[in-house]
Amino acid sequence: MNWSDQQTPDNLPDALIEPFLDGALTPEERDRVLAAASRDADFAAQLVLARSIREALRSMPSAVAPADLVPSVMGEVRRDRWRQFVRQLQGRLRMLTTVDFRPVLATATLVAVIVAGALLGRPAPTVSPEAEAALAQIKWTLALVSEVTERSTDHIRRDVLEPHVLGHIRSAAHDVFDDSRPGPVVN
Amino acid sequence: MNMNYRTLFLALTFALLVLPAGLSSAQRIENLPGYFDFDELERIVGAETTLEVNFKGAILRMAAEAARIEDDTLADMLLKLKGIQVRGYTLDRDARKALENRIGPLFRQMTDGGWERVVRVRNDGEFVEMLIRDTTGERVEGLIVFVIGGGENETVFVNIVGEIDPEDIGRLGRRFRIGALEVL
Repeated sequence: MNWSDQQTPDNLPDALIEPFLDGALTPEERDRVLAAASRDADFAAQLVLARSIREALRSMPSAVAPADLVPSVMGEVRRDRWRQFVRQLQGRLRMLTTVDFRPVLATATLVAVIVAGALLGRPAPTVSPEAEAALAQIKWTLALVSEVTERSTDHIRRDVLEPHVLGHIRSAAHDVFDDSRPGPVVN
Repeated sequence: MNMNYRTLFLALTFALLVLPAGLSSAQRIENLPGYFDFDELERIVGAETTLEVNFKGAILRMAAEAARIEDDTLADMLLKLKGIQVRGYTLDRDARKALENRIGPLFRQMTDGGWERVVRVRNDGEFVEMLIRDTTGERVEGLIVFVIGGGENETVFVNIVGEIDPEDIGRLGRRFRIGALEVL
């Protein structure tokens, strides 16, 4: 008989025995367990047995696990998962190689080969001599336009702004803020 | 009634034949607002062209693709352009002076025709005019630069047609300036 299938008096489940021994029950549950043990000798015997097993286990010398135990167990777990993955992959590949999927597989392979070939065999971009010459002349033209614009801006600054605008502003500002001028005479 | 159908059929056929030609002519660079016809200018200059550059269509696109290898900004700018024309002349001092005097009416004609003068310099033997064309009020569609410099080989006229960002031209032009203008 499975222990978990056993029902204690008052429909107390066996599952309460372990928490009772651990002291993890609520006061009400603990009272129910004790009441059931006082009424039912079998249940009381179960409690005694469980307590003695627990004490026997506690009194056994504890073995120290070898240092490589955890790594080796984890390694085994990883190997197991890898084997599982490979098996799944094999299963899917087997499915692809069935008659139904063969045309799809052949097309995909062909496309992959073509794409890889195009990528690997693609020549480096080349520029025709005509395009290179045209580009050189275009750069020259842009440089010319840029130079003209900048030189013109210099002219405007030097020949127009400086003498006709900035010069006047400076002169006016000088007149206003110059401290060396005699101030109004205060008697 | 039959006559009406026949007339309609003939009209449609005619339209189908003529329309594509009309569309293609509308896209010709000569019909764009930013295009400048150098013929009259050449007549005014009255001397043989020593430098002539005409880029449009396929060669301009090829140059743009060539530019893309080293400079995306330049490539993008070139793809917006429809044409680049340059004329250069070798003129002595007297010929340059005469040209400066003769060219005035052409500028008036251009400004009357919608070109806008943005730069005008007359200084110490240097003559510079820059005009732009902007028919939509949103972007520059054409640019012309006239330079009559102080040296024999410094008479150059440039026309750039297409969507132009002057900032791009300034920025890119500065980058290409080292060595590029030595041939001028």
